[in-house]
Amino acid sequence: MEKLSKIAQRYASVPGNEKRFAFAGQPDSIIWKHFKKGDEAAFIYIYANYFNELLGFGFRITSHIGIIEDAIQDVFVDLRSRHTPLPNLKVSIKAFLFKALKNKILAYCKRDQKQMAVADKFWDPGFNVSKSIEDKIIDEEGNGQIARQLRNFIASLTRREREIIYYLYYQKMSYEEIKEVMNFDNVKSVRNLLYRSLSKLKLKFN
Amino acid sequence: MNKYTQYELEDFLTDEWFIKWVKKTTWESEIFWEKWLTKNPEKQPLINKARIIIESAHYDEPGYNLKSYNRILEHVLNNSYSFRHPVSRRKSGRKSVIFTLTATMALIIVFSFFLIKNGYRKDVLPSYQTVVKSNEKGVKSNFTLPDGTKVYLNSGSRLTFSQPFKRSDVSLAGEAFFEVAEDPANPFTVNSKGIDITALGTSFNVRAFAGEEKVSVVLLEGKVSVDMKNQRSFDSKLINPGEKISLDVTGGEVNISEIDHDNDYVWKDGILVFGQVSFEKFVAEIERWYGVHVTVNSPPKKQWRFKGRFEKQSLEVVLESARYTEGLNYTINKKEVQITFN
Repeated sequence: MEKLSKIAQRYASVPGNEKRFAFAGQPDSIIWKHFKKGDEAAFIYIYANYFNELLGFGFRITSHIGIIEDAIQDVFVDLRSRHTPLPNLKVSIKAFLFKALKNKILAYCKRDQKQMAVADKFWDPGFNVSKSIEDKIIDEEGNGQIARQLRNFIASLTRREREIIYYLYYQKMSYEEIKEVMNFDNVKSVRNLLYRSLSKLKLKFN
Repeated sequence: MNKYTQYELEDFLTDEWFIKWVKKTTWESEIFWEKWLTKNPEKQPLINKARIIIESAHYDEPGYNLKSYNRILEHVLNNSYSFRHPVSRRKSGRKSVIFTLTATMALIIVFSFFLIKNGYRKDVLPSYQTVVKSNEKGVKSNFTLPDGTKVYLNSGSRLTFSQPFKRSDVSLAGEAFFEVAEDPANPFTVNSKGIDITALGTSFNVRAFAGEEKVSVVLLEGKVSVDMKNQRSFDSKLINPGEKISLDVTGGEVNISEIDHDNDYVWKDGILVFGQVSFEKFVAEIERWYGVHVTVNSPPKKQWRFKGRFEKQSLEVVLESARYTEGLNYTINKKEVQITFN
C-alpha cells in the first residue's frame, strides 16, 4: 500500500480534484448536468465515488481482473469522449455505469472466444454468509443448518434471479435501477420474478 | 402501515421500504420500522428471519485498490484530452477578450430568456455555489451555518458547503466540532476522507487531518451513524453518546472506545492536550496550533512520551515544558522554531 501522503499528492495534481467535494450529497441529476457541461470536478467525483463499486461489480461476472480493469477504463473513456453523445440520465448514475460496465465485460468475454472460461463467475450464488451473521443464525437454530439451507437455496435460483438479489440486497439498488441495469420492461416484473422465487424459500424454511 | 401486518416472509423480502431499513439507507425507514415493531411485537420472529436473509447477501470482493484506481484514472484522463465542451480555454489578445465578452453577454441573454420562460428550476441551473471556510495554521474559528448548526473549526482545517445550504452536503478536511441544529426530517451529513458521518440533533467532533491515517468521531449527545463509502465490506456503524470511533482509512480497521472528556474535543475551548505523543506528532501539532514552522536540527535521543495540558498558553510555555521533561532545546524567531537535542 502506498503511503497516504504520497497518494494525497498525486490526487492534488488531478484537475478538478479539490472541487469535487462540492458534489458530495448532491442529487445525481445535478452531478450529471455539471458533467455534461464539461465540469471536470463532476467527472472526478463520479470516478472517485463509483470506481470501487464497479470493480466489485465486475468481479461478479468474471474473475479476470485484467478484463474488469480494461472495461472500467473504457466505460470512463467513453463517458468523456465527445464522439459518443452522452445520454440523459434515466434513473441514476450508478445504474448507468453498472449497465455500461456489464455490457463491456460481456462483450470482451465474447471477443476473447474463451467465453465460458472468461465469464466464469456470472453471478455465482454469492451469499458467503459473513461471520457475524453466521453467529446470529447459529444462535437461533443451534447449528449452521439455516445458513447452509440458504446457500443451497440461492444456488438453486436462476442466474437472473441471483442477479436481482445481488443488486437489491447487496448493492442497495431500487427496483427502478434494477429494471434499468437488467433491461426489464417495468418495475413490477422485476419484483414479480423475485417474489415467485422467494416464495419457494418459505417452504424450505419452515 | 396496516398492510404490513398481513405480510409473509416473501413480502418483506421484496419490499423496498423494508430492505431500506435492513440496509440502513435512510433514517426515516429506521424510525418507521422501530415504531411498527413496538406496535406489532408478535411479528418479531418473522422480521428477524427476513433481516437475516437480506443481511446474508454477502459477496467476496477484491479490496480497494488505490494503485489501479490511480493508474486507470491517469489512463482515462490521458486518453481524453478533448474533454467534452471545455469549460474555459485561456486565450490571449484583445480580440478574444471581446469575443468572450460578446459570447458571455449572448449567453446571459439566452439564459435570462430561458429563466423567464421556464421559471426557476433547481436541477437546470447550477443553482449552488461552494462556500469554503478555511483556517490557516495557528488560527481557529467558530461560526454558525445557515441551518443554525454551530461549528468550531480547528486550525489547519477546511469546511466546505453549498450555497443555498444543504445539510447533506458538508465536507471537512481537518478537525471540527459540530453542534447540530435539530431538524429530524433533514439529517446532517459531514463527509471526510470518504467517510460519511450522519447525525440527528447532535454534538460531535470529527478529526480527519491529511497526514493522519485515522479518522475519529467523538459523540457527546444524540445519534450518529458512520459509513465508509469506498469500503464495500464496511457496514455503517451507529455510535452512542460517550463513544469514540476511530477508523483506519486505508485498512478499514474500526475501533470503538469510550470518550476521554479531558482530551478528545477540548481544543475548541483553547486547550492543547498531548497524551503521550511521539516527537513527530508533537511537532505536527504545534505547527498547526501556533502556525509556526519547526526545523529539527538533531533528532531526539530517546523515545518521546510527552504528556501535557495547556489552557490558552503561549508556545514558549509548551516548549519550556518539553524542555523540562524531554530535554529539548529551542529558539523562537517570529514564526520560525529551531529544535535541537543535546
